[in-house]
Amino acid sequence: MSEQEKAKEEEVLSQEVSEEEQAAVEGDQKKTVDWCYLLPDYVPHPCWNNSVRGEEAEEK
Amino acid sequence: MAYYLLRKGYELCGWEGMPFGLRYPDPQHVDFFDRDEYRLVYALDGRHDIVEDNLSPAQKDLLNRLKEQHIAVPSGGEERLEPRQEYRRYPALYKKAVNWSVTGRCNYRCRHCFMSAPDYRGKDLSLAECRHILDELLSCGIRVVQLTGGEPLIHPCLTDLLDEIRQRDILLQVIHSNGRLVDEKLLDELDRRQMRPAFHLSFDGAGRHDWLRSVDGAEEAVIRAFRLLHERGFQTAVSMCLHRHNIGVLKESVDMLASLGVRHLKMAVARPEGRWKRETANFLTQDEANEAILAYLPQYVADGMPVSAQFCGLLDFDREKRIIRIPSAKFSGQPGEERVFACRAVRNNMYISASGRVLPCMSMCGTAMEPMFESVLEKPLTEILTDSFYREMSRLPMGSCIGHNERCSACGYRLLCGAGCRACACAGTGNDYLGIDEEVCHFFRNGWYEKAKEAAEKYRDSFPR
Repeated sequence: MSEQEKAKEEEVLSQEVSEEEQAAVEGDQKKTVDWCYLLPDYVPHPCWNNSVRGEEAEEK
Repeated sequence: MAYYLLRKGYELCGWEGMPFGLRYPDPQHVDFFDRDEYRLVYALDGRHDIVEDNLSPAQKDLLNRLKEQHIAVPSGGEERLEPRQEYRRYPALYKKAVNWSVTGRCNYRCRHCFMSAPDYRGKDLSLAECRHILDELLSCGIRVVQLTGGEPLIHPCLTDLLDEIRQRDILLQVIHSNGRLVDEKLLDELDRRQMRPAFHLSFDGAGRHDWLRSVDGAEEAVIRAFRLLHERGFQTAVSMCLHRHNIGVLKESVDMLASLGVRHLKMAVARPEGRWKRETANFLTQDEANEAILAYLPQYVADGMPVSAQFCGLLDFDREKRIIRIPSAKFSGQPGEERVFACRAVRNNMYISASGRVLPCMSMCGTAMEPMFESVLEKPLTEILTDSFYREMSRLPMGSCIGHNERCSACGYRLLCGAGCRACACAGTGNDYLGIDEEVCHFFRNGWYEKAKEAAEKYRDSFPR
């Protein structure tokens, strides 16, 4: 590889990743989406057990 | 010595904040990697000697996966990537796809049109303007378009536009249409260009369609379009607006659409916007719609869920994935959700209006916010995607909406609803894009969320085998 190609590779690989951008785009991600799906063999997401239900919501 | 090459059609690419991407031959599919993994992906260029013992465990796993999928192909060390496979960084936010109104005009006079298309007085985008927009999309790495309108099939340069899309290797993913102009000739033109878009057609109830469309024969025309599309192997989906005159024909409509080969049906209550504001006597409340849907669900399930169907914000039954979703509950309800973008659809996709404005979504058309967004005909898209009100809107954290509204801040549902849809908030408040989407608020505060969960739990094992 030429020096120019090596420099380009270094420049590409040194770029910063924005985790929030990546999570938003991929995600459709577990943390933001899976919770709202009910698979036939699903394991209830914690929020189904822990999320605030009607009466608690009014209290808060 | 072990050299590997990315298989033809796979491209190295990156965007602002998301620099480590691999686009598949199907341009809808882009995988993103972390730096360690991408060091390996970048080395699949036929020039790097890949010594497996020197790879990290994650890189080894990835290489095995890419080999299994024939994405990484062994090379003799002589072959090179094609120029378009080599790394390209787009100086903009990543967008998966664009929904593009190529015209604001329409051949129908729908009573509920939120864009008031029948009254549209603007011009169609010229072919030169369309070319410019397509080039701008490419400059930002956007290679998936959906055509909409008005009615996109009345654009006078439609076949030329198809050529321009094809020449740029952009995927025509969906055509949104009323179906009137779907005929053999159109499908031949698409086939000739090897384009297989899905058709999303409007259908507003068995025996009720003509009334909403204000055109005699509209129902007959759209049924003919469904049949033809099905025969020719084009996928179809349906949008159906609920109102007082069609809420009683849910079963008839679902059954008819299933018999026509429709894969997905999305229902929504017609909102009092645009021309529909004149039709107050025909409005349907959310409560009325949800009650009718819940009353119909036992029949829908007993009939074997004839089509995948999203019933407004209440429930979404996906036959293929065998899942039930509650569309109004967009977030997890867990602490930390405040940092999530307020709308993932807006973050991922973009809308271009018939005047060239870049908007977060089509539903922002006609709101007081619309003039705040810039036109891709006047400003480079790279700039709109890096420094503009549009960019601010598409990266808006959900917590900003919650914090803006006293009612939301004090509500226990805030991490489930995220203050709702931004376009609905704009439409409802006039111009407050951080405001409350009252429909979603009503959903949570009036017990519909609990009823939706109860129904989802009841029917979760009822998918047809």
